Amino acid sequence: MDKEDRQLVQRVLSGDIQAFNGLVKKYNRLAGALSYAICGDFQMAEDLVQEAFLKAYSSLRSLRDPGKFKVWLAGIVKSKTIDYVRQRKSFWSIPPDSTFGSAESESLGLNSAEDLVLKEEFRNKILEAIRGLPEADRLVIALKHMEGLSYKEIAEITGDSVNAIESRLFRARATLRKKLDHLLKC
Amino acid sequence: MKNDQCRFVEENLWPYLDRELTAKKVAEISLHLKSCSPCQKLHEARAREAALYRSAFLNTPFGDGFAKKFQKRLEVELEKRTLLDPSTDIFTFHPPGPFRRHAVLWTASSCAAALVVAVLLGLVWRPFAAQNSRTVLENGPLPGPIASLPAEEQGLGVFKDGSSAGVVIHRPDREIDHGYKAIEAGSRFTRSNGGQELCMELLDGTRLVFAAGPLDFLVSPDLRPRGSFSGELRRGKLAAHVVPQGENRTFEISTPHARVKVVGTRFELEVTEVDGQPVTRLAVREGKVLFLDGSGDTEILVTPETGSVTMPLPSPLGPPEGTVPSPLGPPEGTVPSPLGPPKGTVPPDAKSPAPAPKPQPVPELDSPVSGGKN
Repeated sequence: MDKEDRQLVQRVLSGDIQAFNGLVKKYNRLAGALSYAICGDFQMAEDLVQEAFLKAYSSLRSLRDPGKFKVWLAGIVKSKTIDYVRQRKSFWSIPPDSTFGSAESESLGLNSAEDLVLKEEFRNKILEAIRGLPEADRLVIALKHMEGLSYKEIAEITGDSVNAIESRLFRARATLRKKLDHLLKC
Repeated sequence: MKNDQCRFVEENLWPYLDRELTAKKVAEISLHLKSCSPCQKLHEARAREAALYRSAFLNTPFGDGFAKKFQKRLEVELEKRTLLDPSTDIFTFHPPGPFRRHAVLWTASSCAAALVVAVLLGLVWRPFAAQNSRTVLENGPLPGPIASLPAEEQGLGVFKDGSSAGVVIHRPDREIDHGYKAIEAGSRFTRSNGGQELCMELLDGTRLVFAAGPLDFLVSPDLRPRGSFSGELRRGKLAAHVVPQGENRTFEISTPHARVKVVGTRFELEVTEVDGQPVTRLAVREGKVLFLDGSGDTEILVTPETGSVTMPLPSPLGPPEGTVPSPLGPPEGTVPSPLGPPKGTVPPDAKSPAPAPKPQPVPELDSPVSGGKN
């Protein structure tokens, strides 16, 4: 149980909105990884995570153990995203992920426009391969590589055992390696 | 040749890179990597692989930027009162000391009891029927779940009537709830004009005011939180104030006979009957609206100068010119002019001849939408 979360939740309940922002800062990447793993679209994941945080804010009083905010929030994100995907699937397939602005491109060590295009192509291929994985495998890959969670933390969110997470990660990475063989040899 | 040590390293390389091993195992593997070239290569390959996966997740909308954006959104939602502030707990019952351990039971029973009392007092909100002119519908999700309803079907708002309070529950069997789940979270529903009208305010500020009386309005279930708005008015009457839509966002309302495409405008739309014939009637107060028939073969650009227009277009043998009814005025059983438009009332891009409705005074959006037949 997270002591910091408990304090933040209690501050929100006593009327401190800024404290909720602390929770958003702390968990938005985790929520984003979760939502993306399910819906496969960063832009949609952003909207859904916003909705999930709004829901979390307004129902915060129903959280019985404030120390378990992370797991509780993960449940809301999953439920929002699954609802969206179910609704969406009955109309058309999930749109391919759209790319985002290049605000963080510098951190990839890009030198030229050509590099940028090449990196973006690489990125899209990796994301495409990840989208091709079964949902449970996508989830562990996103939580591990986007958020850098430990096996234990992933297990806590998915409700699986640590050993199961380790095996799933191993299997997902092996599948990705096969799919991205040509990229990995570059 | 692989020895046991190499196999051990190979099996534990991912947990090693993920920092999941004990210090003893880490030391063991690190030592082996220094002396074994094949394992070193494997280690480098796996490390490169991990970096590649990480790089795919570098450029995402999440991080500090998200937090800032969300903070603004939260402030807006709180200002609009579309969210219930968790610090103002208006419904939770705080049981006395010995009962605190059963707080959940107490809360559930209190909610159930409140609902029963509300039903008995006839205070449960009845959608779109002006049952009680004193009823004021307020915004905000419910502070807690209602027993026996799944989370998705929980109430949308809270209403107060004098000193009594109740919850608004939108269920699939109630009218507007056909589309409730798809309505943007945070969309705001209010009662206005003494409870005679229902106002739905979307997040972008667009307002739809539904007149009292029978209504069947469906919000398209494929609505994305950031996407276009698409609704279907099957029965009843609404007035809309649509804020200018972004480049990739459209606002469209269809009826059994027609479609209305909007860029940013104010208009009134009604599904009604004229001489026993079902029609859709449109009047524009501000801006331009593209009015299409069900098949899309006929389209008319309607402006405030055009007056009210009905769809399907009336037969050429219909009543004489000058009997165009006001869209929201008392039903007079009249239909728009069938004898073709006077000059300038139908835009040149209309696909087929349209009637020439006479300009009619259109009531203000804020004024009561009343008096029409449904």
